[in-house]
Amino acid sequence: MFRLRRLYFDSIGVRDNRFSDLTVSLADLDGDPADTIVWLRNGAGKTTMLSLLLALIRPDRRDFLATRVKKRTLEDLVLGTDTAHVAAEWVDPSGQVLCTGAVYEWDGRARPRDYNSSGKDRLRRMWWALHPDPSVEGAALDELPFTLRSRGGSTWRPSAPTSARWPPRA
Amino acid sequence: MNAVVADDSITDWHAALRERRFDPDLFRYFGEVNATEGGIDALFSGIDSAGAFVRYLLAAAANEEATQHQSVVAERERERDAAGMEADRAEIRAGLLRDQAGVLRDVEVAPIAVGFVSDIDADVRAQVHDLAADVDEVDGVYNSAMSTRFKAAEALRTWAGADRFSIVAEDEHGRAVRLLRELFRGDQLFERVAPRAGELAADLENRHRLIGQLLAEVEIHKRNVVTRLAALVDDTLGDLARASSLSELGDDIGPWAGQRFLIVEPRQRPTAEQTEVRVADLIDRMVSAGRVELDTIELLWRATEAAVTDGFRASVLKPAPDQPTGRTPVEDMRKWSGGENLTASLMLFCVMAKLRAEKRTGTRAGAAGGVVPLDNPLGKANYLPFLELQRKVAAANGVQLVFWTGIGDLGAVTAFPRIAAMHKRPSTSRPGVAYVTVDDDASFASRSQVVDVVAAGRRDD
Repeated sequence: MFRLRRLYFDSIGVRDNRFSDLTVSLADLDGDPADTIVWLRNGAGKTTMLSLLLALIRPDRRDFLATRVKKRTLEDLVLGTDTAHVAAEWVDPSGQVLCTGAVYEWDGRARPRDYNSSGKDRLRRMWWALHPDPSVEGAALDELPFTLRSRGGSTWRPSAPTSARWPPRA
Repeated sequence: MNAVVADDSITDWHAALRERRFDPDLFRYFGEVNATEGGIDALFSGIDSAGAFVRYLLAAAANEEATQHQSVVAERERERDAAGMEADRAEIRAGLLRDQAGVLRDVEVAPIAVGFVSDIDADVRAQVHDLAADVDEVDGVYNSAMSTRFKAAEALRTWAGADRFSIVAEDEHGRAVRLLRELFRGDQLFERVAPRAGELAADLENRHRLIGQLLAEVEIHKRNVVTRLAALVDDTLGDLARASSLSELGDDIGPWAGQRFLIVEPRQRPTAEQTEVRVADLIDRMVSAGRVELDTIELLWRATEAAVTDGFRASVLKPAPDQPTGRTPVEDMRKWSGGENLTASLMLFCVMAKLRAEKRTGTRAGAAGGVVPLDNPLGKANYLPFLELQRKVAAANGVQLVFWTGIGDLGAVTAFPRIAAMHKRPSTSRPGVAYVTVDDDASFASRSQVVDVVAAGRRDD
């Protein structure tokens, strides 16, 4: 079973609680996934962060944890001009790394007024997964072209070529 | 005297005699006279003149006529007597017929007579007797038929009024049943139902057949449902047994080594046949009550509960720093502390994860592993020995614990090898915007006590 080594958030969150180019390590000094306390003061986004992680695994709206416990939706967390990223770096028992991620962006880079009712369907969501290949440049979590890193150059282009291969080579 | 004479002179009479112009009877008469004593001579001995002869003839003719008249009179008298007797007989017969008609006075007279009545009184009596007996018999049959019809009508009313039909009649699809009920329970039962009885009976027979087919189909469906649900119950009981088995702890967990954290089992496991009977009974009860459980988990729960009549026995190891091996009934868990419950929940999660992995892959799982992320669990459970026990249990199951928390309990927080500490800081360039940033600090390995501002990591040895 996979264990979690790092979490990454970019361009996501409500205005007074933004996650921008934020990497959270869950590893010990050897870089192996370890039991971790993610420490944040109350109101700083603990439930939001956990919800975004879980939404990678269960992306259905009704499963969004923060909606159930705090009435906060994924749509609340993606602002109009955001190209929002959530990524997780997993390690399997053999040591192989798997990165999974989601990209969220409002259609036309504008959040509709009714974004929590019928307008919610205009939030475009895409999910990706890759095994970082050391021989491929830019394929590791540290190198992927998230929004802040690429200075906003990596906008939503569903057909854009990616530097990572999926499915990975056997 | 029949003689054809011209002038009634003797000459003429002689001539008439010669020529035999008299009535032949006259000659027969003379023949008879001649044959009697004295013969014709004696007859004519006193006739000495034509006049005497004529007088004789006239007298003879008068006698003859008188004799004839007497004969007629006698005949008429006989006829009168006979008519009188006939009249008497007719009167007697009329009396008889009246009497006999009286026997049949309740029978309406037909407009046209048919048949015939015997001339023999005894036969008439016998016929009337037989007819009266027939009428009585027909009356009896008629009355019996009327009684039968009345009873049948009452039976039909009672049948149509049965409560079981009222349920169907009130149903949105029960229009036909409603109309038939009104028809069979109405005041004009005979008028409205009898003429169509054959058609209605055929219709009801048809309905009966169709309902029978539907019931047979329902029975087949029910058998299928029962078979499937009973199999699911059996699977469930198998899963429970497997869960108990998977909760057995490894050797590296101290006093709990080799112990089953969870033991849950029916007090008496039902046989396959018992399960089917009990599940079928449950389905019948739900259908009868009109409350069929549609939630699949709840349905399986109820079916399992119904199949296991004696209930379950369930116990766990109560988490404590010294890991006691005495078993505690699960009911007592409600009285446990947050730390005890969190530790037990973690154990149960690991068991469930292994069980699910086995069910999904179809192979026996080893250590399930994976990540257990928990939102703010330390608020209720920050007793350090329990956190250590939780980590021990998680490690035994290959599980990585990730706790999101904001508490300042340094002992609890530093029980983990990685502390990812973050702070929210207002943007210097964008008013109203605040960013969450990681408090990186090179001293994370030194178990810094300033954990509210730094992220820390260490190596567990």
